[in-house]
Amino acid sequence: MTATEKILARGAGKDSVKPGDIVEVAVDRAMIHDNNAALTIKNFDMIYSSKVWAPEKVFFFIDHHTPSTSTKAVKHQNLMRKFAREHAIRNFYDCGSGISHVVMLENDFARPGEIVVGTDSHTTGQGASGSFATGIGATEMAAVLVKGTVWLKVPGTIRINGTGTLPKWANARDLVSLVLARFGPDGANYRAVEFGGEAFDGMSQDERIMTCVMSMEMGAKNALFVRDVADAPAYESVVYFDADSVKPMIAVPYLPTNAVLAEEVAKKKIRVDQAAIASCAGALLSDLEIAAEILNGRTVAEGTRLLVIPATRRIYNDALSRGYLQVLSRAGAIISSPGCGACGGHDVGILAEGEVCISSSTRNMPGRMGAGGIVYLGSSATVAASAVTGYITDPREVLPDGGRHDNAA
Amino acid sequence: MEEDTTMPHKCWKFGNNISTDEIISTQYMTLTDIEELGRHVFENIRPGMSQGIAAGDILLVGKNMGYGSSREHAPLALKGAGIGAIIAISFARLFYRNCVNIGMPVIVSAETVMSSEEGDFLSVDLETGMIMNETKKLHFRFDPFPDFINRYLKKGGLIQALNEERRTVV
Repeated sequence: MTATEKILARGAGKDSVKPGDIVEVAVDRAMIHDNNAALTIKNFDMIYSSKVWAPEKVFFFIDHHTPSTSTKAVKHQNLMRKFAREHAIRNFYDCGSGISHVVMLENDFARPGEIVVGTDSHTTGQGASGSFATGIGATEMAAVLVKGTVWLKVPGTIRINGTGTLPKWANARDLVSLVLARFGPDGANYRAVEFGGEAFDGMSQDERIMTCVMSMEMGAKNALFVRDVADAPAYESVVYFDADSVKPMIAVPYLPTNAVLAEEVAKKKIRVDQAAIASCAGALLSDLEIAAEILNGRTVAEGTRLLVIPATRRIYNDALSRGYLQVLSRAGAIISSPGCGACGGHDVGILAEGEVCISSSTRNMPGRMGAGGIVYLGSSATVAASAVTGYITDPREVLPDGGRHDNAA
Repeated sequence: MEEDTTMPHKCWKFGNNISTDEIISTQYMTLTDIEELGRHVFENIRPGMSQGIAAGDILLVGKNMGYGSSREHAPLALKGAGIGAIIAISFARLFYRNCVNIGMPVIVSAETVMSSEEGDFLSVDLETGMIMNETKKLHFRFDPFPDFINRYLKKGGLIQALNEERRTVV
């Protein structure tokens, strides 16, 4: 069995499972955020004699509209606060706490081998700790809150091996963009993906979170980092990526899997109205660190606005004490409160029609950041470099050493 | 309140990778009323479409329908706009689950999608797994749903099915 199959077998109380089996598994953690809480609560209230099965396993987050953005948003948030009080849900992460997935991981709430469901597609990110973590909808979550179980079809597993090591100025996001481009938007649909091999084994926790979050964009049901390879027949397929040759990549509109070389996009001299360091995939401490490194002693280009939305309060505080936020603010960045921010255009950073944004966030589908807005996705280094020049830029162009890292040599 | 899919209904056709952002924009995430959601369906890519949908109309879609977020607002908006069934070459996982859970029939049939055009009238028999294109006089078969999904669709969704279980248990 693969790592995912082992977790699901345990969750279902079985010795073994195989891809295609439909199993009812016990949920270890259930996460609900403010975008889907109102619908979840509405459905919960429709279930006969509904009671929360285990309040200590339920986690509420206000991370999409934080602080509240409208009277409707705050009404939903108050509904959450009331529900949490009535049902003794103590794990309540209010406005400013940060993005659910990252906060869950920071607090060790998604442990290896656990089964985590969340009302957010990027719940896959919580697999970074070794949990089986997947997204479900509001109605399904209402049923989970009552029953404490969920049915799942056991997914086949795709093993993704990374050989070699990343060159200095390409980063993990660039490698993951290559993976996404290879699979396309549905290449891992209904599948578990498992990352391993030298390039992935060596990744930091931040890089693992980003990788597991972005796996959703190729359709993955869940994502894991697994050092030890299962017996080959256990996998549906095994693919290899060479990290040594990775260069900065940019996903062009309108799919996060439309990744092409940043140097090619840079040639087109695309003017940037907004640059955003944001989301559970692009505003972790290491993202703020690299942005500060690039923007140190520089200023954001005239006509470009740079948004920095640290993923969580802990990241915000760490970036504050390490001086990153000061560097970024001095360079002209707008620092916003922790949360999902510009990623979905829920609160800050909504684009006008025809405006261009380069963002380290997760998605660039039509309307994602405001109707008619045009979103390019890249690493936080690419976003910071583009903020400096005012054009979509290959980060190697603005690096202190001139970015001379010719990997072809 | 579910529309009778066995009666012929007009179909609307879309391409591949239609994302939840295109079905219902993030700015409407604070709505929970399905009719209100329905008024904004596909606003980003086909403004005004929702007013043209008649109750029971069918969506024909390419690959990976419902790509993207977990928002149940997407299938709810389609339901609120009057869509009675969705036929696609393939579905994104979360969207498919969300549809089943709210009682929206989701059918995988590449043949139907490839052979039918927008404006054709289709009827769907969920029991027998048969789709008729009444305009072109073509018919197609699809794999019947597993029992539990059939039950959700018949009852109008997961909550209704769950309540039936709970009524018998209590």
